[in-house]
Amino acid sequence: MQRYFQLLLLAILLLGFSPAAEEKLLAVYTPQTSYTIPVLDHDGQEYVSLTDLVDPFGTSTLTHKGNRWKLRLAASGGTMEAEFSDGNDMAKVRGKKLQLDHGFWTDGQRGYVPIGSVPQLMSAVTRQATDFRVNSRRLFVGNVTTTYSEENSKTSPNRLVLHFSAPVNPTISTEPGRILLTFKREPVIAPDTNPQSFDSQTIRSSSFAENNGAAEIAIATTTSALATFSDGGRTITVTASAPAPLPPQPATTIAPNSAQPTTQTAKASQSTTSGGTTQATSPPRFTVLIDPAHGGDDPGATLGNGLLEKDVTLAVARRIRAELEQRGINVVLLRDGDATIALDQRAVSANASRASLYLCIHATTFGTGVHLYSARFTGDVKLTNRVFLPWNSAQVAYLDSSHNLEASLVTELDSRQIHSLPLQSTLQPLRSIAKPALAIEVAEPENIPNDIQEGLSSVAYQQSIAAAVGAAIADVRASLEAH
Amino acid sequence: MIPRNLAITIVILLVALAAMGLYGLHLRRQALQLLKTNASTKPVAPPVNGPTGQVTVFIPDDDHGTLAQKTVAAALPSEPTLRAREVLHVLIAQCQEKDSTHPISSNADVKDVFLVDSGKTAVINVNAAFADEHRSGVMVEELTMVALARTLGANISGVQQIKVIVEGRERETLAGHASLMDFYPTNLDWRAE
Repeated sequence: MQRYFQLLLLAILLLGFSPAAEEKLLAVYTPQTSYTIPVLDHDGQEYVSLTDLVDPFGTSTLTHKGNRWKLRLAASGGTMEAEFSDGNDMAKVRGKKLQLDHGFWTDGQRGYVPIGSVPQLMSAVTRQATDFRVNSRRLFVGNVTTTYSEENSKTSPNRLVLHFSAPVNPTISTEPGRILLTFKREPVIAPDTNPQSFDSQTIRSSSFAENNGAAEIAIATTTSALATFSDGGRTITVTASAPAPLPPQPATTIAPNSAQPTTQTAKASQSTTSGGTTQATSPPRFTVLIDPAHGGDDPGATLGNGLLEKDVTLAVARRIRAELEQRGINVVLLRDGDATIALDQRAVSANASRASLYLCIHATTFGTGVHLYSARFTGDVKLTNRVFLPWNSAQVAYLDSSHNLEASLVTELDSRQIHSLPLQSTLQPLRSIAKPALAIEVAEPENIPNDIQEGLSSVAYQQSIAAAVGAAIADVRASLEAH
Repeated sequence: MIPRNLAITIVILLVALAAMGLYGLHLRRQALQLLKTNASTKPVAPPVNGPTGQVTVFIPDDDHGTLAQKTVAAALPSEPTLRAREVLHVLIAQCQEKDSTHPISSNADVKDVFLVDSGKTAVINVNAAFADEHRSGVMVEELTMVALARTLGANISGVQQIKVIVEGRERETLAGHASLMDFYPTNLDWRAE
């Protein structure tokens, strides 16, 4: 009996300590945007959410009558419709039949398409050629690839310069013996020669690989190395220190685009000069953390016509990301798919990140324009210690900066004739955020007739709000960086 | 051979019977409809005893995000907790009226109000429908909470803050947004109409 109990205990321990399975992802690269969406297993096949897949191209609505599902995508280039039947492998996109690999799968109010049919589907939706790399789950829509070349200098210290055809912003991990550049958003493809060996004492080789919706360049080194950016993100220079016996270093991660950054013990620096010369480490890039509220099991409010708040918040968040990136501001989305994240978990992620600013997005059909919320504190809440901030009032220390951003947003929204309403709220996790933080609730448009007709789904309306947010953040960036 | 007058009488009687049957069906449908519209799961409040007084309520306006002050006559008990509950009943009844600027479910109700901390804090125990059937959104939820706080503060002296619980238990949010884990001061500043 005791033996069985011990075996049971061992099994529980093994289950408890076994590493969690890595989330499967599909990366989609288009000329307009790049994004990753989660891949789900169903009946031994891989599926992706239909709305997650097409949402970045406009505003999608998925409605159904019985087992017949209709997708409507309103984009700047017009409206597209597609029809699917639950369990059926025949679909109709833009009036033309499309054979799916496996049956269309539905779960609640969401519809899923087999991953093998995604290239044909996206080709029909975007009217552009697609290139799908099945094993690494990377889909290229149109001509979007980013190529790179390598140049190894045998100077001391030894350098490897990577020249990219477009700006890149990879996650950089260093560990004994290698430095790893992970490209989650960039459509980086392998160079002509892969892997490549170098006749050098410290930088030995580099190899390109792609896996689970990301590309990786692994650079083998014999000493510790440092990666620096230059030429607006088009050049990455890996500099290896002079060969000398070094004590082993713990693995470190630098994740400018990670939703859950880890503690850093090494620093990435960004050079402002072109030419790839290494500089002393400089401050991290100005980063905005955008939190599309709700998601996964929490759909938020139902906004009419089957539109869910969680989908609208994600669509608006992606538009704001594009606006900010155009202004050279680094952006991290707290969720870039349909994930369930608890309120406290959002605050933990936000506070652990290096982001300079937190922005939470909500949507509603009540009222008009945009409601802006800063955290409300009642009573005598005072900041007594800047080292340890109370969980429920961490925001107190940053309220002035939050209000500055709010004022800037009001100005930008007013200049675009979008009604704005600055308010205070107990909305969580605003009060637990230890950085300037604001919540934006997008309500119905009121001025432009076409937008009023389309309501919250209006691409032009969402875009105007995103542009206002982008401009407002760019305006206060200097003061936030100085804070 | 049936006499002609007898045949006519039988036909008239049959027509009258059919007409009465149809009319009976119509009345039955009407009665069912009436029963449906009057059916409510809302618990019946005990009759309120006490002199009629003026209650100041703050009615939210969802479209403009404002609070409008209004005075309503209502019978108010003298016992403070019952009085506080009756004041909130008046507020909710205003929101449940047709064409309300801030509709609240017809099933929503305040079950109890407890005055604690020497009457400075009012703990409002609402029924499940109040939260479950509340419309979801940051502003609409905030408006409900602020209206409850301001209305209680305006009518029950000494109450400085409120805390809302649902069916006797704490809940994280009202309908996904406004926090129910917090206390709402009765002097909260909100945009007036």
